[in-house]
Amino acid sequence: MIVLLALVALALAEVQLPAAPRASPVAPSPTTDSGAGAARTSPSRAPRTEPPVPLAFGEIFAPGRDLVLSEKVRSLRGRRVRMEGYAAQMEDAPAGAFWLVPLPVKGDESGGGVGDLPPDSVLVMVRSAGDRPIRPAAPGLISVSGLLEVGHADGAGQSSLLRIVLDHSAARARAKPAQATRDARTPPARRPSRLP
Amino acid sequence: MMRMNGVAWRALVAPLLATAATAAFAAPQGVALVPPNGARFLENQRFDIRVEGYGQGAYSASLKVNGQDVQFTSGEQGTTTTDGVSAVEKDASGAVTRTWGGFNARGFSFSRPGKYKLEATFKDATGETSTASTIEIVDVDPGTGHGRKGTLAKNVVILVGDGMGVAHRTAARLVRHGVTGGDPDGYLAMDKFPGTGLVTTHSLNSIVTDSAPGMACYATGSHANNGQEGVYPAHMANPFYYPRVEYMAEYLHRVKGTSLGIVTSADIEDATPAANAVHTGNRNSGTGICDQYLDESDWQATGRSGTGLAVLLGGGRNWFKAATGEQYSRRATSTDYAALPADLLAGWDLPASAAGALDADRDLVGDFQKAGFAYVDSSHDLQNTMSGHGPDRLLGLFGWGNMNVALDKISARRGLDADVVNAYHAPDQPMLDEMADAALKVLSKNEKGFVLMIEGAHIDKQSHLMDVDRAIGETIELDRAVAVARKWADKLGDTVVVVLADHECSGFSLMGALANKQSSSNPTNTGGIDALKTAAAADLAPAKVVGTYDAAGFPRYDFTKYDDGYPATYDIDKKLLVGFGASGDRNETWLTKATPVIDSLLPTAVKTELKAASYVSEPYQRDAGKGWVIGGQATQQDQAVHTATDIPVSAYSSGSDVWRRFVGVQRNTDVFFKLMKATLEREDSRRD
Repeated sequence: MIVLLALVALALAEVQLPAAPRASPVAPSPTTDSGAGAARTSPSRAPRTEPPVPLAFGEIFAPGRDLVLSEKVRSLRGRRVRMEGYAAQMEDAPAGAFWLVPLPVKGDESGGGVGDLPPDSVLVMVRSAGDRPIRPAAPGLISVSGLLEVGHADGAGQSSLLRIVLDHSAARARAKPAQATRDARTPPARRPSRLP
Repeated sequence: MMRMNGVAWRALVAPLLATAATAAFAAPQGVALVPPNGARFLENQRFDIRVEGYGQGAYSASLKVNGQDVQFTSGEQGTTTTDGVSAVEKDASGAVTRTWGGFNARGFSFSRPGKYKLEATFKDATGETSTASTIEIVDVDPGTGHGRKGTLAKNVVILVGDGMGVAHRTAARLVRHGVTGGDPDGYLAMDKFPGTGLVTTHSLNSIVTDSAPGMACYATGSHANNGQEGVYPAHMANPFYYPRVEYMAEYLHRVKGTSLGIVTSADIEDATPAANAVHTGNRNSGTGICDQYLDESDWQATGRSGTGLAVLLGGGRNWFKAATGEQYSRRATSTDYAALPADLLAGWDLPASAAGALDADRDLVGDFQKAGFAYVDSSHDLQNTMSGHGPDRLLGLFGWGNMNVALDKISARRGLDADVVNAYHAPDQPMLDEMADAALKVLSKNEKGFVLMIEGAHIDKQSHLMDVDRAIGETIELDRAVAVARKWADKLGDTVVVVLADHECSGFSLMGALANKQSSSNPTNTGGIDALKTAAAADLAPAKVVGTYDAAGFPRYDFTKYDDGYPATYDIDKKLLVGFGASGDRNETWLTKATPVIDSLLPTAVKTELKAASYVSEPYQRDAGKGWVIGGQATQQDQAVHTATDIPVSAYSSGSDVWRRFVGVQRNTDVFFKLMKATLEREDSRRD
């Protein structure tokens, strides 16, 4: 039985939604999503040896037609980084991982299952998920921090050039599956009513 | 007369196996014989035969064709290893749970038409299981050779609108030309083809196909399992070893010396393009698929095998760059193959260089160039390379994965919004009609003829996503390529062009148009597209928005503002509104889905500053909580699905009346035989 885990519920200490601005005159920010509420309240309890270095998607490749990793990315090999992006919704979700992408992506089976991913996609490894698929439940930007792996590798059934091993949280590992499943099934309260 | 390994031979006596009665409580399981019952092949079309099963102890098998014993080309009798490439299944701990045995007869063909009965037995230590299938060899009458010229058609152009059903075509016509007083104000290029028919779309293992067998049936005349292309199902160590069936391009290349062109707006490894040239039981094996395009193209020009590939245009650059160092690539051993079985190479007359290797570090672009292909990776590159005489072979990789959709490419060309194409590091992508024109210019150099497949790949994808406007834009783009194909067909003569689909997607339904309706919560709302943009979610209910019957009126889109063949905007008053019969869950706003905010590309410091100024990154519109939530009929996920609906075919032929053969209701595999006969028969050939 494959247990589907809500991305937000899973990553209480590992994934943070950006804090809502003080004034939000337009649409509600992702952080007002009630399903994401818990994500704002539980900072990681795991000790950190260094603060994560911010890394933007636009900094991944050096300028040029052939996409080669930038000096900055190479210098961050093995170090903690923080990136903001979207969790790609994939038809075939990687086992125990998800793709962090610079724009919202819904991927189908085309292109070997990865044809819709931009080149700067980063595979985020979620160790506590084992080989279970992770289907994102939170739309909008998320912030991810963890150790940066650089180099070609097959992981989670996916070929990738960059990976972030999500920061581990002892508290997260003890999360009850029932709670995680309930969070995954409960839609945000602000959604309009459905047609019968 | 039977042919194997390219040599005519009479029945070879295989060790006769005692036909033991099947043990009462044990017998080999999973025994299967391919080709399956009902499979059809053209005279002299190559295919593999395979007998497989699993059980206990050593395996043996036998094969007869019309009662005559046939020797296998691989599979050692009385062993558990048999052909050495049958599957060994293991559990999570690595313990072997099932060992398959397989016996293959590679590279079969029949020169005499008619029905042939294949009978096989598979034996293990517990007993024996028998199985049989009857296949048909379809005849080709080459005629007497008298008459005005050669064959009815020299060139074949197949245009595939992936997922394109009748409704997609109607929507594109309506948007492109409009309707007045009950009559369309114009017709699509595909509408003007004289031969109109319907095509069934089922695959070997389901009424609902996917794109792999959906294309392979047109290119081979055989059905395939979902996810598989150019092969029959099997249990083998690598999907590239599966029993093969010969493609149209392979047959015509070795019989007539034709070339092959493949053009798509998708990643070039994707199922529809690959199912014209590549044999694999896994449509996702991108590294091996792209390798095989070149390795089995017969770039050496021996004429004995291979596809004659001369043009390959699409996305998917990431499969062609070496996965070395810090260079971006998706090449990996997990999606590759090595050392095709020796009897496969021999049976299909393939050179040793086609054997394959696990080579994630291969510079496939470089190898294409060494094989004589000119390489381009942008629209401007393509234009420059095609000026003058142009190359004899062309490789164009215009995106790292899938190319972007027409709506987003056009937005970039108009200077309105290049965020999406830039996010994909592909700022300068050609349109499908431009790619088709380049392909035809290259292929037309071969006086012996060519086969060209052009795919509008994203009609399907956008239908899955229930993105009406992008789906219509994709259909319009495909139709522009149809116009180019017809222009070339008229210029070259002796060309048959068919426009069809692999299947329909989403149950696309033209239910009405945006109605000027007042909402109960806002009685001053006069409706129209502007009101829609600011409407509350409750006012987006279909009953308040969709004008049905008389209220639909006549949508009219502006094609004059930019004069590039696409509408100025899809969001007009009286906008065409589409529903989905095979839908997934969605938030429906009835507006063009906005391109997403590419916030993440900004340096962190800038984002911090913007956030301090109350800037909010707007999520993708459909997930913003706006819109009317419509529950899916086919799935509770948020994508629509393929349907089993028949799809229309439109046929045209220059210099002959071959187009008439496509009138009526036909099986998808019939299309292959009709096209093949057109390229092999003459005016005085016997007609079916």
